[in-house]
Amino acid sequence: MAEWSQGKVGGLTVERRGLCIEVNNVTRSFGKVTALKGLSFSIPWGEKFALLGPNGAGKSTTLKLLVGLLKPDLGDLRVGGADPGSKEARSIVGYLPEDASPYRSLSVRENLEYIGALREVEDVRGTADSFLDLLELREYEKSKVGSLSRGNTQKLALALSILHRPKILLLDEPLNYLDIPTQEKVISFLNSLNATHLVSTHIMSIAGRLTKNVIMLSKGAVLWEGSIDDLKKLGREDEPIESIVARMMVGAR
Amino acid sequence: MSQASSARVGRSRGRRFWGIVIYELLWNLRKKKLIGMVIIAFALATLSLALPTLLGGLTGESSVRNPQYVIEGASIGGLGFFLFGLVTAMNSMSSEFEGGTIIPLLTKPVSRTVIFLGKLTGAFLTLVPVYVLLFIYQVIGGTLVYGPQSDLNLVVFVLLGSLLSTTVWIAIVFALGSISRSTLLTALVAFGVFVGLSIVGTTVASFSGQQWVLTYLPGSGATGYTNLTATTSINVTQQGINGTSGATGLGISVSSGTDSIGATLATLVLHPSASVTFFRQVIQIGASGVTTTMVPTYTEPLWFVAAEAILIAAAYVFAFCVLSWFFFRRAEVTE
Repeated sequence: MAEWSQGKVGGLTVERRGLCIEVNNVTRSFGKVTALKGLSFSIPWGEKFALLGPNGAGKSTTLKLLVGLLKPDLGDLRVGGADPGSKEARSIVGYLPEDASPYRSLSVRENLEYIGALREVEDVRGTADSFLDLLELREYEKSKVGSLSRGNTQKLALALSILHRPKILLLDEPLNYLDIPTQEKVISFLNSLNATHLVSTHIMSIAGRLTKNVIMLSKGAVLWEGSIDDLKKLGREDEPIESIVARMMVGAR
Repeated sequence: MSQASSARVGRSRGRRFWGIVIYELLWNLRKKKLIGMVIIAFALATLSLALPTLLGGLTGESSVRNPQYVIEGASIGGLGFFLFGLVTAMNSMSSEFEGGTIIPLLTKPVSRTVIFLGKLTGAFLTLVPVYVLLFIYQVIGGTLVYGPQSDLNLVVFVLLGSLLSTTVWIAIVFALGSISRSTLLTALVAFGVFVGLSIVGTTVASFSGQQWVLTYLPGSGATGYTNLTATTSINVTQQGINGTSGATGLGISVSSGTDSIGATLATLVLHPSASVTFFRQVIQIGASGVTTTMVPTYTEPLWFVAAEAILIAAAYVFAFCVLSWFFFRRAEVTE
């Protein structure tokens, strides 16, 4: 699907931004547990959304469905206008799972070059170099991933998910384990990509730095959807946004 | 799709395929299990070379000259094929799921078929240098210990046969890994299959007279003897074998199974017109003690035995690869 399409409004030709992510009435169960119950939402190209919700709300399942790791029992999903499992979709998506695991028996550089080769990144070595510097992994480039700290492993996992400069970012707790200076660098880099973001997180401050909109899930369905500014308006004066979110989630139980 | 576009897609697929093969090779060659297995194989080869000479020294016998040592003794053996196949492939699929590394792999624009074929090729290519080095070591060692060796050209057949024999086990272990997605379960079931086939299967088939069944199962197969006198090959121990009709003048031992392809091919090159007679064992307990009688059951040309073993091995490789691919293509990542 094109990022922009033309349409007529009141006799005038206008450009409309197409939908990048479409989730239509999706249901997915694991045995007797229903993780998603008729979930529906859509995200236009270039928009940045946070996926919020308590544990078990269906955030990670939603992301896995969007990258084709799972298939829905009912409903359908489109990513960049294509089926999530298709090559077209996978070539434009950058996905970071929660507690991602790069290849432990490979070095940091080998991981970057291997994934770069699978992504057919031009100048794999140069790209690996730039990410080693950006994420301050240069001194560990020859170290096996198994010997890295959790923070450095997360940096590498993040680099592996974005080294092809994806048009669509699906990130599950991307800033986990990262120190504050690295968080700042990552936020700045992610925002510079001008990609469509869907970020699953528990931390509202991160949601606020990486996104402008929120999709709040509860029990596998959308509880609330809107901009972070609108979310703030739902609270009392000076009420922290975390408190508003917590109140909404508790209310939904 | 235009011709140029098709060619570009083909090249792209090829680059990704080789990327996976290279990673799989790197991964395999760093596996402690494989390194341990290689060390054990070289240690056993050294023992096989040195032991007769050491024992000869102890008993005061002069060193033995055996120009057939390499072609008769240079083998990895059924257990070796199984263990090499197991350590190379047991976690190729399952640990990707267990460790979560399947996620970066499956979310890249690479088809699951290419991933599967890349992994399978990587596992196979891991064994090639290991086996080549092992055979070179045995050729050099055999020449140094037992003097100049004859029929060394046949080592190539034994090597190729050994690779095909091991590939059968690789395919079986791959399928178990794709179905179970658990390294432990894969190893346990594979061991169960190997032990079941090699001990239970062989015993039951030999005594029931249905040895032919072993030909169609992965493993060492049914054992028979050529009608030739064993002038250049393995000496058959004839103690306890009664001279029943057809069982006298036993020749070269030939096994029909997928683990024996290399040795069977070498024998075929040396004796292209030979035929193989298979026997069943009859144990009789009498006043004079226990006697084992080998009763001939059927005879086949040696070329047929070799061709059959190769075709059966290829059929197993194909069938288990298809099974493995089928489960891998359908696999979801739920963890």
